[in-house]
Amino acid sequence: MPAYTAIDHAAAQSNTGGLVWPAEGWSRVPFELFTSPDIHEREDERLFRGPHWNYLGLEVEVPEPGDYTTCHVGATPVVLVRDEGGALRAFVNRCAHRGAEVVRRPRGNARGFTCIYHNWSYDRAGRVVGVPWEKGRGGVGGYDAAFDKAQHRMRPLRVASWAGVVFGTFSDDALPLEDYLGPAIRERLSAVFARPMTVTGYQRHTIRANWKLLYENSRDFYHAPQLHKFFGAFGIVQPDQAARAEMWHEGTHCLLTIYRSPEARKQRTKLEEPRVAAFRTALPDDIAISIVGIFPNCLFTLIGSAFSIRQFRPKAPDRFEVVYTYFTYADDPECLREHLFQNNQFGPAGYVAMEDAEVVEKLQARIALGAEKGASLVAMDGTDTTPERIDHMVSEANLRAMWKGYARFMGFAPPEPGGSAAGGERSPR
Amino acid sequence: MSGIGLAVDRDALFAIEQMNKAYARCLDDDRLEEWPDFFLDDARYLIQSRENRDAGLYGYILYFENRAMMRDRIKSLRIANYYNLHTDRHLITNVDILGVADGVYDARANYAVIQTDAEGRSDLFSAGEYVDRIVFRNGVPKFRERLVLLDTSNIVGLLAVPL
Repeated sequence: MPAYTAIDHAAAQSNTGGLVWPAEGWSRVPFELFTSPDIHEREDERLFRGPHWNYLGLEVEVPEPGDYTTCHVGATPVVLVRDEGGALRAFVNRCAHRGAEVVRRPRGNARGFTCIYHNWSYDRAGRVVGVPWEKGRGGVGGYDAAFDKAQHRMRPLRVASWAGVVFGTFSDDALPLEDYLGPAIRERLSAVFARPMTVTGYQRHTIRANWKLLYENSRDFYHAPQLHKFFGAFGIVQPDQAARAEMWHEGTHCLLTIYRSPEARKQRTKLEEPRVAAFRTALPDDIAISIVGIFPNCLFTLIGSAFSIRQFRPKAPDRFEVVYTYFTYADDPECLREHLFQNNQFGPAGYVAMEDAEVVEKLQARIALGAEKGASLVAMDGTDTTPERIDHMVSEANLRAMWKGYARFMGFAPPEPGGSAAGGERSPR
Repeated sequence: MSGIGLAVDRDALFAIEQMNKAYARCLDDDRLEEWPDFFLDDARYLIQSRENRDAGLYGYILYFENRAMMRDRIKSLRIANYYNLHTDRHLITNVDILGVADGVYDARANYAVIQTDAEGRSDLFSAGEYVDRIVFRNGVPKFRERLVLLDTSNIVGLLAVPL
Protein backbone atom coordinates (compact mmCIF):
# COMPACT_ATOMS: atom_id res chain seq x y z
CA MET A 1 0.00 0.00 0.00
CA PRO A 2 1.55 3.32 -1.02
CA ALA A 3 1.17 4.97 2.32
CA TYR A 4 4.68 6.01 3.22
CA THR A 5 7.34 8.24 1.82
CA ALA A 6 10.90 7.09 1.64
CA ILE A 7 12.77 9.44 3.95
CA ASP A 8 16.06 10.00 5.62
CA HIS A 9 15.04 8.60 8.96
CA ALA A 10 17.64 10.36 11.08
CA ALA A 11 17.04 13.78 9.55
CA ALA A 12 13.30 13.46 9.80
CA GLN A 13 13.45 12.27 13.39
CA SER A 14 14.89 15.58 14.49
CA ASN A 15 12.07 17.75 13.19
CA THR A 16 9.08 15.66 12.24
CA GLY A 17 9.17 12.74 14.61
CA GLY A 18 10.20 10.48 11.76
CA LEU A 19 6.79 10.58 10.20
CA VAL A 20 5.91 11.88 6.77
CA TRP A 21 2.26 12.11 5.96
CA PRO A 22 1.03 10.02 3.00
CA ALA A 23 1.23 11.97 -0.24
CA GLU A 24 -2.50 11.49 -0.83
CA GLY A 25 -3.02 14.11 1.87
CA TRP A 26 -5.24 14.43 4.90
CA SER A 27 -7.66 11.84 3.57
CA ARG A 28 -5.12 9.24 4.69
CA VAL A 29 -4.11 8.73 8.31
CA PRO A 30 -1.02 6.57 8.78
CA PHE A 31 -1.55 3.70 11.20
CA GLU A 32 1.85 4.47 12.69
CA LEU A 33 0.19 7.35 14.56
CA PHE A 34 -1.61 4.76 16.66
CA THR A 35 1.25 2.35 17.28
CA SER A 36 4.53 4.25 17.56
CA PRO A 37 6.11 4.67 21.01
CA ASP A 38 8.02 7.69 19.66
CA ILE A 39 4.82 9.41 18.64
CA HIS A 40 3.23 8.54 21.97
CA GLU A 41 6.06 10.30 23.80
CA ARG A 42 6.00 13.20 21.40
CA GLU A 43 2.28 13.68 22.06
CA ASP A 44 2.92 13.95 25.77
CA GLU A 45 5.51 16.63 25.15
CA ARG A 46 3.83 18.57 22.35
CA LEU A 47 0.14 18.14 23.07
CA PHE A 48 -0.48 17.41 26.73
CA ARG A 49 2.48 19.40 28.04
CA GLY A 50 2.41 21.79 25.11
CA PRO A 51 0.49 25.02 24.41
CA HIS A 52 -2.94 23.48 24.89
CA TRP A 53 -5.49 23.56 27.69
CA ASN A 54 -6.35 20.26 29.37
CA TYR A 55 -9.55 19.57 31.26
CA LEU A 56 -8.85 19.14 34.98
CA GLY A 57 -12.27 19.03 36.61
CA LEU A 58 -15.48 20.89 37.32
CA GLU A 59 -15.68 23.76 39.77
CA VAL A 60 -18.55 22.02 41.56
CA GLU A 61 -16.14 19.23 42.50
CA VAL A 62 -14.05 21.64 44.56
CA PRO A 63 -16.51 24.18 46.00
CA GLU A 64 -14.81 24.82 49.36
CA PRO A 65 -11.27 25.83 50.34
CA GLY A 66 -9.15 22.70 50.62
CA ASP A 67 -11.37 20.62 48.32
CA TYR A 68 -9.24 18.75 45.85
CA THR A 69 -9.57 16.25 43.03
CA THR A 70 -6.90 14.37 41.14
CA CYS A 71 -6.58 13.90 37.42
CA HIS A 72 -4.04 13.39 34.67
CA VAL A 73 -2.68 15.70 32.03
CA GLY A 74 -1.41 13.20 29.51
CA ALA A 75 0.90 10.95 31.50
CA THR A 76 1.31 13.45 34.34
CA PRO A 77 -0.71 13.09 37.56
CA VAL A 78 -2.15 16.46 38.59
CA VAL A 79 -4.06 17.76 41.61
CA LEU A 80 -6.73 20.45 41.30
CA VAL A 81 -7.40 22.24 44.58
CA ARG A 82 -9.20 25.33 45.86
CA ASP A 83 -7.00 27.44 48.11
CA GLU A 84 -7.82 29.57 51.16
CA GLY A 85 -8.69 32.58 49.05
CA GLY A 86 -11.03 30.57 46.83
CA ALA A 87 -8.65 30.47 43.88
CA LEU A 88 -8.19 27.28 41.87
CA ARG A 89 -4.70 25.83 41.89
CA ALA A 90 -3.18 22.85 40.11
CA PHE A 91 0.15 21.14 40.55
CA VAL A 92 1.94 17.96 39.57
CA ASN A 93 1.36 15.26 42.17
CA ARG A 94 5.05 14.55 42.70
CA CYS A 95 7.11 15.43 45.73
CA ALA A 96 9.74 18.12 45.17
CA HIS A 97 12.15 16.08 47.29
CA ARG A 98 12.43 12.61 45.74
CA GLY A 99 9.49 12.46 43.40
CA ALA A 100 7.10 10.34 45.44
CA GLU A 101 3.33 10.54 45.11
CA VAL A 102 2.03 13.12 47.60
CA VAL A 103 -1.77 13.21 47.26
CA ARG A 104 -2.89 9.62 47.62
CA ARG A 105 -6.68 9.79 47.54
CA PRO A 106 -8.64 10.58 44.37
CA ARG A 107 -10.68 13.33 46.04
CA GLY A 108 -11.04 15.01 49.40
CA ASN A 109 -10.49 18.08 51.51
CA ALA A 110 -7.16 18.98 53.07
CA ARG A 111 -5.49 21.86 54.87
CA GLY A 112 -2.31 20.90 53.07
CA PHE A 113 -0.52 17.85 51.80
CA THR A 114 2.29 15.73 53.22
CA CYS A 115 4.48 13.25 51.41
CA ILE A 116 4.63 9.96 53.32
CA TYR A 117 8.26 9.28 52.39
CA HIS A 118 10.13 11.98 54.36
CA ASN A 119 7.17 14.04 55.53
CA TRP A 120 7.82 17.07 53.41
CA SER A 121 4.67 19.12 53.73
CA TYR A 122 2.96 21.43 51.27
CA ASP A 123 0.34 24.13 51.29
CA ARG A 124 -2.72 24.03 49.06
CA ALA A 125 -0.81 25.61 46.22
CA GLY A 126 1.81 22.85 46.34
CA ARG A 127 4.52 25.02 47.95
CA VAL A 128 6.85 23.41 50.48
CA VAL A 129 6.05 24.60 53.99
CA GLY A 130 7.72 21.98 56.13
CA VAL A 131 10.93 19.94 55.88
CA PRO A 132 11.78 17.56 58.76
CA TRP A 133 15.30 18.00 60.16
CA GLU A 134 15.70 21.08 57.98
CA LYS A 135 18.08 22.65 60.52
CA GLY A 136 19.50 19.32 61.66
CA ARG A 137 18.82 17.20 64.70
CA GLY A 138 20.74 17.15 67.97
CA GLY A 139 23.13 19.74 66.58
CA VAL A 140 24.18 17.68 63.59
CA GLY A 141 23.23 17.42 59.96
CA GLY A 142 20.38 19.23 58.30
CA TYR A 143 20.36 21.28 55.14
CA ASP A 144 23.02 23.93 54.76
CA ALA A 145 22.38 27.65 54.89
CA ALA A 146 21.91 27.90 51.14
CA PHE A 147 18.88 25.66 51.26
CA ASP A 148 15.66 27.65 50.94
CA LYS A 149 12.57 25.52 51.10
CA ALA A 150 10.56 28.36 49.58
CA GLN A 151 12.41 27.62 46.36
CA HIS A 152 10.84 24.17 46.21
CA ARG A 153 7.32 23.26 45.21
CA MET A 154 5.35 20.72 43.27
CA ARG A 155 5.26 22.03 39.72
CA PRO A 156 2.26 24.31 39.18
CA LEU A 157 0.05 24.50 36.12
CA ARG A 158 -1.72 27.60 34.88
CA VAL A 159 -5.41 27.26 35.64
CA ALA A 160 -8.42 28.89 34.01
CA SER A 161 -12.10 28.04 33.86
CA TRP A 162 -15.05 28.71 31.62
CA ALA A 163 -18.65 28.19 32.72
CA GLY A 164 -17.47 26.12 35.68
CA VAL A 165 -15.22 23.83 33.63
CA VAL A 166 -11.60 23.98 34.79
CA PHE A 167 -8.62 23.65 32.48
CA GLY A 168 -4.90 23.68 33.09
CA THR A 169 -1.78 24.02 30.99
CA PHE A 170 1.95 23.59 31.52
CA SER A 171 2.68 26.12 28.81
CA ASP A 172 3.07 29.88 28.97
CA ASP A 173 2.30 29.98 25.27
CA ALA A 174 -1.26 28.66 25.37
CA LEU A 175 -3.85 31.12 24.13
CA PRO A 176 -6.17 32.69 26.68
CA LEU A 177 -8.74 29.99 27.47
CA GLU A 178 -11.61 31.93 25.89
CA ASP A 179 -9.79 32.18 22.60
CA TYR A 180 -8.67 28.57 22.89
CA LEU A 181 -12.25 27.31 23.24
CA GLY A 182 -13.66 29.53 20.50
CA PRO A 183 -17.11 31.12 20.25
CA ALA A 184 -19.24 28.07 19.44
CA ILE A 185 -17.94 25.89 22.28
CA ARG A 186 -17.98 28.82 24.71
CA GLU A 187 -21.60 29.47 23.87
CA ARG A 188 -22.65 25.83 24.23
CA LEU A 189 -20.87 25.34 27.56
CA SER A 190 -22.35 28.58 28.87
CA ALA A 191 -25.84 27.49 27.86
CA VAL A 192 -25.53 24.04 29.41
CA PHE A 193 -23.83 25.24 32.60
CA ALA A 194 -26.22 28.16 33.11
CA ARG A 195 -27.83 26.27 36.00
CA PRO A 196 -26.12 24.68 39.02
CA MET A 197 -24.72 21.22 38.40
CA THR A 198 -24.24 18.25 40.67
CA VAL A 199 -21.77 15.45 40.06
CA THR A 200 -23.55 12.09 40.17
CA GLY A 201 -20.55 9.79 39.88
CA TYR A 202 -17.39 8.68 38.17
CA GLN A 203 -16.52 5.80 35.91
CA ARG A 204 -13.08 4.52 34.99
CA HIS A 205 -12.64 2.73 31.71
CA THR A 206 -9.55 1.14 30.20
CA ILE A 207 -9.48 0.70 26.45
CA ARG A 208 -6.72 -1.31 24.80
CA ALA A 209 -6.26 1.02 21.88
CA ASN A 210 -4.72 4.34 20.99
CA TRP A 211 -6.53 7.28 22.57
CA LYS A 212 -6.89 9.12 19.27
CA LEU A 213 -9.09 6.38 17.85
CA LEU A 214 -11.80 7.21 20.38
CA TYR A 215 -11.22 10.95 20.14
CA GLU A 216 -11.71 10.67 16.37
CA ASN A 217 -14.68 8.33 16.81
CA SER A 218 -16.51 10.92 18.89
CA ARG A 219 -16.88 13.26 15.91
CA ASP A 220 -17.42 10.53 13.33
CA PHE A 221 -20.94 11.05 11.97
CA TYR A 222 -20.47 8.20 9.50
CA HIS A 223 -20.15 5.44 12.07
CA ALA A 224 -23.00 6.39 14.37
CA PRO A 225 -26.00 4.96 12.48
CA GLN A 226 -23.87 2.19 10.95
CA LEU A 227 -22.34 0.80 14.14
CA HIS A 228 -24.76 1.76 16.89
CA LYS A 229 -27.94 -0.16 16.14
CA PHE A 230 -29.68 0.52 19.44
CA PHE A 231 -31.58 3.61 18.26
CA GLY A 232 -32.63 2.02 15.01
CA ALA A 233 -33.54 -1.35 16.51
CA PHE A 234 -35.86 0.26 19.04
CA GLY A 235 -37.17 2.98 16.73
CA ILE A 236 -35.78 5.85 18.75
CA VAL A 237 -34.51 8.46 16.30
CA GLN A 238 -34.95 9.51 12.71
CA PRO A 239 -31.84 8.84 10.69
CA ASP A 240 -32.21 12.03 8.64
CA GLN A 241 -32.18 14.50 11.47
CA ALA A 242 -30.28 17.74 11.01
CA ALA A 243 -26.74 17.87 12.29
CA ARG A 244 -23.82 20.25 12.31
CA ALA A 245 -20.11 20.11 13.13
CA GLU A 246 -18.16 23.23 14.04
CA MET A 247 -14.40 23.10 14.31
CA TRP A 248 -11.92 25.27 16.14
CA HIS A 249 -8.27 25.24 17.24
CA GLU A 250 -6.92 24.21 13.83
CA GLY A 251 -9.74 21.73 13.46
CA THR A 252 -8.87 19.75 16.58
CA HIS A 253 -11.87 20.87 18.66
CA CYS A 254 -15.27 19.83 17.40
CA LEU A 255 -18.72 20.87 18.54
CA LEU A 256 -21.07 18.30 17.11
CA THR A 257 -24.74 19.23 17.28
CA ILE A 258 -27.67 17.00 16.44
CA TYR A 259 -31.00 18.79 16.34
CA ARG A 260 -34.24 17.52 17.71
CA SER A 261 -36.32 16.02 14.96
CA PRO A 262 -40.01 17.04 14.97
CA GLU A 263 -40.88 13.44 14.07
CA ALA A 264 -38.93 12.11 17.05
CA ARG A 265 -41.49 13.55 19.45
CA LYS A 266 -44.23 11.47 17.89
CA GLN A 267 -42.24 8.27 17.71
CA ARG A 268 -43.19 5.30 19.77
CA THR A 269 -40.16 3.43 20.96
CA LYS A 270 -40.19 -0.34 21.06
CA LEU A 271 -38.42 -0.29 24.42
CA GLU A 272 -40.50 -1.74 27.22
CA GLU A 273 -39.09 1.02 29.42
CA PRO A 274 -39.10 4.17 27.27
CA ARG A 275 -37.56 6.37 29.96
CA VAL A 276 -34.14 5.02 28.97
CA ALA A 277 -34.39 6.98 25.73
CA ALA A 278 -36.87 9.74 26.59
CA PHE A 279 -34.78 12.84 26.32
CA ARG A 280 -36.79 15.71 27.70
CA THR A 281 -35.50 19.09 26.65
CA ALA A 282 -33.65 20.20 29.73
CA LEU A 283 -32.62 23.34 27.86
CA PRO A 284 -34.80 25.82 25.98
CA ASP A 285 -33.44 24.96 22.55
CA ASP A 286 -33.96 22.48 19.74
CA ILE A 287 -30.69 20.62 20.27
CA ALA A 288 -30.99 16.90 21.01
CA ILE A 289 -27.31 16.04 21.44
CA SER A 290 -24.11 18.04 21.79
CA ILE A 291 -20.79 16.29 21.69
CA VAL A 292 -17.95 18.65 22.45
CA GLY A 293 -14.39 17.53 21.84
CA ILE A 294 -11.89 19.92 23.36
CA PHE A 295 -8.42 18.94 22.25
CA PRO A 296 -6.43 17.23 23.50
CA ASN A 297 -7.91 15.55 26.54
CA CYS A 298 -11.65 15.88 26.93
CA LEU A 299 -15.00 15.12 25.48
CA PHE A 300 -18.41 16.29 26.67
CA THR A 301 -21.55 14.32 25.89
CA LEU A 302 -24.57 16.53 26.57
CA ILE A 303 -27.87 14.83 25.94
CA GLY A 304 -31.19 15.10 27.77
CA SER A 305 -30.35 15.12 31.47
CA ALA A 306 -27.42 12.71 31.14
CA PHE A 307 -24.33 14.84 30.97
CA SER A 308 -20.82 13.50 31.10
CA ILE A 309 -17.29 14.59 30.46
CA ARG A 310 -14.59 12.11 29.58
CA GLN A 311 -10.97 12.79 30.43
CA PHE A 312 -8.51 10.93 28.21
CA ARG A 313 -5.42 9.54 29.92
CA PRO A 314 -3.03 7.93 27.43
CA LYS A 315 -0.98 5.16 29.04
CA ALA A 316 0.81 3.60 26.06
CA PRO A 317 0.42 3.70 22.28
CA ASP A 318 -2.10 0.89 22.58
CA ARG A 319 -3.78 1.66 25.90
CA PHE A 320 -5.58 4.57 27.51
CA GLU A 321 -7.96 5.24 30.31
CA VAL A 322 -11.09 7.30 30.12
CA VAL A 323 -12.41 8.74 33.34
CA TYR A 324 -16.03 9.79 33.10
CA THR A 325 -17.50 12.42 35.35
CA TYR A 326 -21.30 12.23 35.27
CA PHE A 327 -23.33 15.27 36.18
CA THR A 328 -26.77 16.79 35.88
CA TYR A 329 -28.76 19.78 37.07
CA ALA A 330 -28.79 20.19 40.82
CA ASP A 331 -31.93 22.33 40.92
CA ASP A 332 -34.31 19.80 39.37
CA PRO A 333 -34.90 16.40 41.06
CA GLU A 334 -36.57 15.18 37.87
CA CYS A 335 -33.27 15.64 36.05
CA LEU A 336 -31.59 13.23 38.42
CA ARG A 337 -34.31 10.61 37.87
CA GLU A 338 -33.99 10.98 34.12
CA HIS A 339 -30.23 10.93 34.35
CA LEU A 340 -30.26 7.50 36.05
CA PHE A 341 -32.39 6.04 33.27
CA GLN A 342 -30.67 7.76 30.35
CA ASN A 343 -27.19 6.99 31.56
CA ASN A 344 -27.76 3.33 30.66
CA GLN A 345 -26.94 4.45 27.14
CA PHE A 346 -23.44 5.68 27.95
CA GLY A 347 -20.23 4.52 29.54
CA PRO A 348 -18.52 1.14 29.17
CA ALA A 349 -21.85 -0.72 29.43
CA GLY A 350 -23.89 1.79 27.46
CA TYR A 351 -26.38 0.84 24.78
CA VAL A 352 -24.89 3.33 22.32
CA ALA A 353 -21.32 3.26 23.59
CA MET A 354 -20.14 -0.31 24.10
CA GLU A 355 -19.51 -0.82 20.39
CA ASP A 356 -17.00 2.02 20.29
CA ALA A 357 -14.71 0.26 22.75
CA GLU A 358 -15.11 -3.02 20.89
CA VAL A 359 -14.34 -1.48 17.52
CA VAL A 360 -11.29 0.52 18.52
CA GLU A 361 -9.77 -2.38 20.47
CA LYS A 362 -10.13 -4.79 17.59
CA LEU A 363 -8.97 -2.12 15.13
CA GLN A 364 -5.87 -1.48 17.22
CA ALA A 365 -4.97 -5.16 17.18
CA ARG A 366 -5.11 -5.16 13.37
CA ILE A 367 -3.20 -1.95 12.63
CA ALA A 368 -0.44 -2.99 15.01
CA LEU A 369 0.44 -5.84 12.66
CA GLY A 370 3.94 -5.04 11.44
CA ALA A 371 3.48 -6.58 8.01
CA GLU A 372 0.37 -4.59 7.28
CA LYS A 373 1.58 -1.01 7.52
CA GLY A 374 -0.88 1.33 5.98
CA ALA A 375 -3.24 4.17 6.52
CA SER A 376 -6.89 4.66 7.21
CA LEU A 377 -9.08 6.16 4.52
CA VAL A 378 -10.94 9.33 5.43
CA ALA A 379 -12.29 10.50 2.08
CA MET A 380 -16.05 10.76 2.60
CA ASP A 381 -17.34 14.08 1.22
CA GLY A 382 -14.20 14.89 -0.74
CA THR A 383 -10.74 15.71 0.47
CA ASP A 384 -11.38 19.19 1.84
CA THR A 385 -9.15 19.78 4.83
CA THR A 386 -10.10 23.13 6.25
CA PRO A 387 -13.82 23.32 6.87
CA GLU A 388 -14.85 25.40 9.85
CA ARG A 389 -18.34 24.01 9.69
CA ILE A 390 -20.26 21.12 8.10
CA ASP A 391 -24.04 21.11 7.99
CA HIS A 392 -24.80 17.47 7.32
CA MET A 393 -23.81 14.03 8.60
CA VAL A 394 -22.58 12.48 5.37
CA SER A 395 -19.02 13.65 5.75
CA GLU A 396 -15.61 12.90 7.18
CA ALA A 397 -14.35 16.43 6.57
CA ASN A 398 -14.29 17.15 10.30
CA LEU A 399 -11.96 14.18 10.78
CA ARG A 400 -9.60 15.43 8.10
CA ALA A 401 -9.60 18.85 9.73
CA MET A 402 -8.64 17.24 13.02
CA TRP A 403 -5.76 15.28 11.52
CA LYS A 404 -4.39 18.32 9.78
CA GLY A 405 -4.40 20.31 13.02
CA TYR A 406 -2.97 17.37 14.94
CA ALA A 407 -0.10 17.03 12.47
CA ARG A 408 0.64 20.71 12.72
CA PHE A 409 0.70 20.65 16.52
CA MET A 410 2.91 17.56 16.40
CA GLY A 411 5.33 19.25 14.02
CA PHE A 412 4.85 16.72 11.24
CA ALA A 413 5.61 17.94 7.74
CA PRO A 414 2.43 18.35 5.67
CA PRO A 415 1.85 15.92 2.82
CA GLU A 416 3.41 16.83 -0.51
CA PRO A 417 0.96 15.97 -3.28
CA GLY A 418 2.65 14.41 -6.27
CA GLY A 419 5.95 14.37 -4.44
CA SER A 420 8.40 11.53 -4.29
CA ALA A 421 5.94 9.75 -2.06
CA ALA A 422 3.64 8.70 -4.88
CA GLY A 423 3.72 4.95 -5.00
CA GLY A 424 6.52 4.93 -2.47
CA GLU A 425 7.18 2.19 -0.04
CA ARG A 426 8.97 2.63 3.22
CA SER A 427 12.63 2.44 2.35
CA PRO A 428 14.75 -0.36 3.71
CA ARG A 429 17.17 0.95 6.28
CA MET B 1 -39.11 -18.41 57.52
CA SER B 2 -39.45 -15.53 59.93
CA GLY B 3 -38.64 -16.05 63.55
CA ILE B 4 -35.98 -18.61 62.86
CA GLY B 5 -32.59 -17.67 64.24
CA LEU B 6 -30.22 -16.75 61.46
CA ALA B 7 -27.62 -19.20 62.58
CA VAL B 8 -30.04 -22.03 61.92
CA ASP B 9 -31.98 -20.57 58.96
CA ARG B 10 -30.43 -23.26 56.85
CA ASP B 11 -33.36 -23.65 54.51
CA ALA B 12 -33.21 -20.01 53.45
CA LEU B 13 -29.45 -20.04 53.12
CA PHE B 14 -29.52 -23.23 51.11
CA ALA B 15 -32.22 -21.83 48.80
CA ILE B 16 -30.27 -18.62 48.27
CA GLU B 17 -27.08 -20.55 47.56
CA GLN B 18 -28.94 -22.66 45.03
CA MET B 19 -30.32 -19.51 43.43
CA ASN B 20 -26.83 -18.06 43.07
CA LYS B 21 -25.63 -21.24 41.42
CA ALA B 22 -28.57 -21.18 39.02
CA TYR B 23 -27.98 -17.48 38.36
CA ALA B 24 -24.33 -18.11 37.50
CA ARG B 25 -25.19 -21.04 35.25
CA CYS B 26 -27.88 -19.05 33.46
CA LEU B 27 -25.43 -16.28 32.55
CA ASP B 28 -22.49 -18.58 31.83
CA ASP B 29 -24.67 -20.74 29.57
CA ASP B 30 -25.78 -17.64 27.65
CA ARG B 31 -29.42 -18.26 28.58
CA LEU B 32 -29.77 -14.52 29.00
CA GLU B 33 -33.52 -14.48 28.29
CA GLU B 34 -34.02 -16.40 31.56
CA TRP B 35 -31.97 -13.94 33.59
CA PRO B 36 -34.88 -11.54 34.44
CA ASP B 37 -36.78 -14.49 35.94
CA PHE B 38 -34.56 -14.33 39.02
CA PHE B 39 -36.12 -10.94 39.82
CA LEU B 40 -39.50 -9.62 40.90
CA ASP B 41 -41.33 -7.42 38.40
CA ASP B 42 -40.44 -4.25 40.27
CA ALA B 43 -36.96 -5.37 41.30
CA ARG B 44 -33.90 -3.23 40.86
CA TYR B 45 -30.68 -4.44 39.24
CA LEU B 46 -27.80 -2.03 39.74
CA ILE B 47 -24.12 -2.04 38.94
CA GLN B 48 -22.12 0.49 40.90
CA SER B 49 -18.46 0.90 41.70
CA ARG B 50 -17.31 0.78 45.27
CA GLU B 51 -15.60 4.11 44.59
CA ASN B 52 -18.95 5.78 43.90
CA ARG B 53 -20.79 4.00 46.70
CA ASP B 54 -18.15 5.03 49.25
CA ALA B 55 -18.33 8.63 48.01
CA GLY B 56 -22.10 8.67 48.40
CA LEU B 57 -22.57 9.06 44.65
CA TYR B 58 -24.93 7.22 42.34
CA GLY B 59 -22.65 6.59 39.40
CA TYR B 60 -24.47 3.46 38.28
CA ILE B 61 -22.96 1.71 35.29
CA LEU B 62 -26.35 0.13 34.78
CA TYR B 63 -29.53 1.26 36.51
CA PHE B 64 -32.57 -0.97 36.03
CA GLU B 65 -35.57 -0.51 38.27
CA ASN B 66 -37.94 -3.07 36.81
CA ARG B 67 -37.88 -6.35 34.94
CA ALA B 68 -38.92 -4.62 31.71
CA MET B 69 -35.56 -2.85 31.67
CA MET B 70 -33.79 -6.18 32.12
CA ARG B 71 -35.70 -7.65 29.18
CA ASP B 72 -34.82 -4.58 27.11
CA ARG B 73 -31.18 -5.13 27.95
CA ILE B 74 -31.17 -8.71 26.81
CA LYS B 75 -33.13 -7.90 23.67
CA SER B 76 -30.68 -5.13 22.82
CA LEU B 77 -27.71 -7.46 23.33
CA ARG B 78 -29.37 -9.95 21.00
CA ILE B 79 -30.52 -7.65 18.20
CA ALA B 80 -28.68 -4.34 18.43
CA ASN B 81 -25.33 -4.35 20.20
CA TYR B 82 -21.95 -5.53 19.04
CA TYR B 83 -19.69 -6.59 21.86
CA ASN B 84 -16.70 -8.80 22.50
CA LEU B 85 -17.18 -12.45 21.64
CA HIS B 86 -16.57 -14.23 24.89
CA THR B 87 -17.76 -16.69 27.48
CA ASP B 88 -18.20 -15.83 31.15
CA ARG B 89 -17.50 -17.96 34.19
CA HIS B 90 -19.12 -16.66 37.36
CA LEU B 91 -17.57 -17.85 40.61
CA ILE B 92 -19.94 -17.01 43.45
CA THR B 93 -18.92 -17.73 47.00
CA ASN B 94 -19.23 -16.59 50.64
CA VAL B 95 -23.01 -16.60 50.26
CA ASP B 96 -24.45 -15.36 53.54
CA ILE B 97 -27.55 -13.90 55.13
CA LEU B 98 -26.84 -10.89 57.30
CA GLY B 99 -30.36 -10.26 58.45
CA VAL B 100 -34.04 -10.61 57.73
CA ALA B 101 -36.88 -8.15 58.27
CA ASP B 102 -40.50 -8.48 57.14
CA GLY B 103 -39.57 -11.44 55.00
CA VAL B 104 -36.82 -9.58 53.16
CA TYR B 105 -33.44 -11.24 53.41
CA ASP B 106 -30.35 -9.07 53.48
CA ALA B 107 -27.91 -11.34 51.69
CA ARG B 108 -24.37 -11.03 50.43
CA ALA B 109 -22.06 -12.99 48.18
CA ASN B 110 -18.64 -12.48 46.65
CA TYR B 111 -18.25 -12.94 42.95
CA ALA B 112 -15.51 -13.14 40.36
CA VAL B 113 -16.14 -13.32 36.64
CA ILE B 114 -13.51 -14.82 34.39
CA GLN B 115 -13.92 -13.94 30.74
CA THR B 116 -12.54 -16.08 27.96
CA ASP B 117 -12.23 -14.61 24.49
CA ALA B 118 -12.91 -16.24 21.15
CA GLU B 119 -9.33 -17.51 21.00
CA GLY B 120 -9.39 -19.12 24.42
CA ARG B 121 -7.56 -16.51 26.47
CA SER B 122 -8.96 -16.11 29.97
CA ASP B 123 -8.76 -13.02 32.16
CA LEU B 124 -10.27 -11.94 35.43
CA PHE B 125 -12.89 -9.51 34.16
CA SER B 126 -14.56 -8.39 37.36
CA ALA B 127 -14.48 -8.98 41.09
CA GLY B 128 -16.83 -7.65 43.69
CA GLU B 129 -19.77 -8.24 45.93
CA TYR B 130 -23.45 -8.92 45.45
CA VAL B 131 -25.57 -6.92 47.88
CA ASP B 132 -28.98 -8.54 47.69
CA ARG B 133 -32.50 -8.02 48.98
CA ILE B 134 -34.29 -11.34 48.55
CA VAL B 135 -37.85 -12.46 49.22
CA PHE B 136 -39.47 -15.86 48.88
CA ARG B 137 -42.42 -16.35 46.54
CA ASN B 138 -44.05 -19.77 46.77
CA GLY B 139 -40.90 -21.00 48.44
CA VAL B 140 -38.67 -19.71 45.64
CA PRO B 141 -36.19 -16.93 46.37
CA LYS B 142 -36.45 -13.87 44.10
CA PHE B 143 -34.40 -10.70 44.01
CA ARG B 144 -36.12 -7.56 45.13
CA GLU B 145 -32.79 -5.91 44.48
CA ARG B 146 -29.37 -7.05 43.36
CA LEU B 147 -26.64 -4.44 43.64
CA VAL B 148 -23.42 -5.52 41.97
CA LEU B 149 -20.79 -3.63 43.89
CA LEU B 150 -17.67 -3.54 41.76
CA ASP B 151 -14.24 -3.78 43.27
CA THR B 152 -13.09 -3.74 39.66
CA SER B 153 -14.35 -0.23 39.07
CA ASN B 154 -12.05 0.25 36.11
CA ILE B 155 -13.83 -1.63 33.33
CA VAL B 156 -11.47 -3.05 30.74
CA GLY B 157 -13.00 -3.07 27.29
CA LEU B 158 -16.72 -3.08 27.85
CA LEU B 159 -19.45 -4.59 29.98
CA ALA B 160 -22.27 -6.08 27.92
CA VAL B 161 -23.61 -9.16 29.68
CA PRO B 162 -25.02 -8.73 33.20
CA LEU B 163 -22.73 -9.63 36.08
